[in-house]
Amino acid sequence: MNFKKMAAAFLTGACMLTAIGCGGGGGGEKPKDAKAEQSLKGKEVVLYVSFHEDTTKELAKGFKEKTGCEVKFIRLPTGEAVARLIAEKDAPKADVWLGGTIDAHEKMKAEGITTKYTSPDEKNLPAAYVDKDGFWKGTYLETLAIGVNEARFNKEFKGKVEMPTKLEDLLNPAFKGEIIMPDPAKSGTGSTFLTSVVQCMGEEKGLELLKGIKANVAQLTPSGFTPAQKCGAGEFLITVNFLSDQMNVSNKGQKIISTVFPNAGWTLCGVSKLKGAPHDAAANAFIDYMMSKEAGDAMVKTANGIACNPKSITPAGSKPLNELPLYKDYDFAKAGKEKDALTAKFAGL
Amino acid sequence: MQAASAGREQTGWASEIRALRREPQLLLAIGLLFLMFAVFIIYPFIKLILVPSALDWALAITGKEFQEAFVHTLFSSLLSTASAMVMGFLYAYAMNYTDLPGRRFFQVVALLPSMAPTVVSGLAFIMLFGRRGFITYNLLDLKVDLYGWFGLWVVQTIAFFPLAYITISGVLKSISPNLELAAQNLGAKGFYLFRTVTLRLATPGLASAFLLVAINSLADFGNPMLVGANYHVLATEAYAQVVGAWNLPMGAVLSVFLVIPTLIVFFIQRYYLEKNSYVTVTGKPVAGLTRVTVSPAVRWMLFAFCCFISLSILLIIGVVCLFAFTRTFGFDYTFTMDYFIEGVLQSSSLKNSWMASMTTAVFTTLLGIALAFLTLRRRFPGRAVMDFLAMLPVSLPGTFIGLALIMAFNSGPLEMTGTLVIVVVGMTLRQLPVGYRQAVSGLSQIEKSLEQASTNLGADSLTTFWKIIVPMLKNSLSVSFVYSFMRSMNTLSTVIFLISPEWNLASINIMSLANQGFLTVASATAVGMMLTIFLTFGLAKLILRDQINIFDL
Repeated sequence: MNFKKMAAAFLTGACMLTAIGCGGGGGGEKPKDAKAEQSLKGKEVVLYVSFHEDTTKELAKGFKEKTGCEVKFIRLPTGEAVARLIAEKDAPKADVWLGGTIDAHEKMKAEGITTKYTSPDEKNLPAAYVDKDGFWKGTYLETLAIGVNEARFNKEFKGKVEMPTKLEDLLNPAFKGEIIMPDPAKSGTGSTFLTSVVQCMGEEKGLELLKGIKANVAQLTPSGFTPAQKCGAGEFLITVNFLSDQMNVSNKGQKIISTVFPNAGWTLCGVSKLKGAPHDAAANAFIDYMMSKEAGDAMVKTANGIACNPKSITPAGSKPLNELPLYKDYDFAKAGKEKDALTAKFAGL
Repeated sequence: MQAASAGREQTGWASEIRALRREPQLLLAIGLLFLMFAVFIIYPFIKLILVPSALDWALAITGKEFQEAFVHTLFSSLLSTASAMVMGFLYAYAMNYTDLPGRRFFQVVALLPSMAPTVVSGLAFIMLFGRRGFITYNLLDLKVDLYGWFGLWVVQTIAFFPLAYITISGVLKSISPNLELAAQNLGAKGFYLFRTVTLRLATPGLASAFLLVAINSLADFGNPMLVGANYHVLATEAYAQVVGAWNLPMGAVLSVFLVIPTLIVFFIQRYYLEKNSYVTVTGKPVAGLTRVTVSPAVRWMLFAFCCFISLSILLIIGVVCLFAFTRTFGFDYTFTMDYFIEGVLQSSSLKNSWMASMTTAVFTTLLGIALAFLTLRRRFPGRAVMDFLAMLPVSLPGTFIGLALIMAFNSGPLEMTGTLVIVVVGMTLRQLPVGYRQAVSGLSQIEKSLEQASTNLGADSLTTFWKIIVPMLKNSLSVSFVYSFMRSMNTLSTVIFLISPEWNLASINIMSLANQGFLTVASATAVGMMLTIFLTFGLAKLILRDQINIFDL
């Protein structure tokens, strides 16, 4: 039985209930006119994209201006893209898979679906954000953060408790019933949180901390995005999820104060070339383009992500990449292997 | 041996088969219907049961969180079914046994919630009584958290009230007032009359109604997701297993668990209750006899109760409209069309829902009447099986149907996943029992002699069906058409696994938007949904006039 293909159909639901790691909203501004080479005029490139629509359109426009190449794309949430790529393994319909979390890109690499491509521009990126074996490259980074509803904090908590800035602060009994976060068993954001805490602190201490936090958590949601939205609405004071989701809510008017806590877990949204890509040259050019400053800027503006290219602008309200207190040694492959066992342990806490 | 003895009899299998041979069209129709059942019911269900391994079964039975979900499912659905039944009964009693002022108004208001998915009541509940609810927070400044079983109970009671009311009203209408008037003449009155006559006569019908509501609430998906929060039930857990944890076999196991209680309920209803039915067979109330059996005090209590329910319903619909058309209701009351434009005008999901539901309504109505005609009026081997299969989907939770279909039709010659076809198949399966039931009851009231006359004049089964049966069943047909259209527009659990990026549906949109916290756009989509249903019915009424029966469900 073909589970993978079947999964494709399920994941439509997933795309709405489980916020995809690499997605964003926000308004799009026009990118600066790049110096046009137009070397690929009349050619086309086909993408499967796990970004939001407006980010994708912005990138497609930028690439066309730069190279003259037409961009065709189908938007698929991470899980569904995986399912479709596996189903089409023998005769790929697309050239590049853009977006989707790195654990999924690792999986595609292991399945032999993506192929090696060394971009001349990947030197623009810190080495940690490029696959050592040359398969995937990072485009932007999602980091976990503690978000606090500003209006509610000022009204109800100011003077009584400090603004929480690290995970240990969340153990404060004053926050009991006021924290909302995604369920690690059901959301990629949640599992990133769980695995990064455990990797960083060691299993015993990590689970001990999470047990304390869980006692204060009012709701574990199936979607990674919901906590930001409900924190913004003031239903809950504190959210722990991806910074970009918090900023998307905050920028729409419901102010959330986000703090990237020390040793915060993170994930990358990657880009990979597909083995047997029908349009080889255009695929390479597109991946080169994704390493550029302009592409990074477009992603920052439309998705509030933190571009892997350090020259790109930083999202308003966030620090530059090298100043964020991220957990540098986070190991995606290890996290993927440990995920199931850890989520079971977390459920039992 | 059986064949030999049957050969001599006039009513055995052999004679039935011989009769069939004379009418190849009839034989073809029966064959096609059985093929349809085999492909769309039996095959997917076998497939679903075969997916999980023994290990999955063991894990599901021993897993603490699944046992918990099982208990939650039974507890919360029985609780809300009970309360919805009590409210539905009181309301239906007031409508059928009193001459309360404004009865027409009450009748219409009670049907309003069925124009929107049940999840809308959960949405309104959060907006009114949630942690930042308009009433609990803005007006009363309370700090309450009603997420969990309590909130779910309240919401599901309101959500299933219309279904309880409609079914119970049907039961009460079918009780002949003659018996009650006779009892009254013999001196029975008040509560004694109610207890010994009305309630006694209504009990089997009430039990059936209870089971119908219970099946629907057992499988309900949206409100447990939205209001239940950490209170997990089987339907939400099965979904989370498939979509969140990538564990399809476990999702299949959990959906099978969900089928067990509903199947038990189905068999009780079918083989116990129907045999012990006390409902008087004269059917429609006798004209000219009005039954007024309640004292003035009770009458005014019922009036107050109906006002309370109607106001609650109007409050729900009102708050949804207010959220849909103000910027941030409770804080910023500026009128805006933005949410309506985003959720309704710029979204193709309502159009998809409409197309799928219309097609479903046509299919279920026609299939229902064809099945009813065959099982009631034609003799052929396997009649009882056909009857059973046509009613079976009533007991199958939507999530179960959705999962089974997707497993059966994701590859092979009948690959349908990712298309609108599979959505229509799912909806049709779910609504088929309604169309069938409606056609059976309509057909039972029609004299056989007309059809016999048609046959004697030389018409074959097909001609008789189109020229005699269909025109005479106009009324039941339009009821099942309207009902299956409405239910399909609003269904959530059946289609949650069947939609695809190209074919998203409005009911799913409302649920997922609400679940992510986009209450305004969710409200706007719900308003769009209600408007669409109203406009569709209005248009149908304009075009067909008396040919269709819409508002008298």
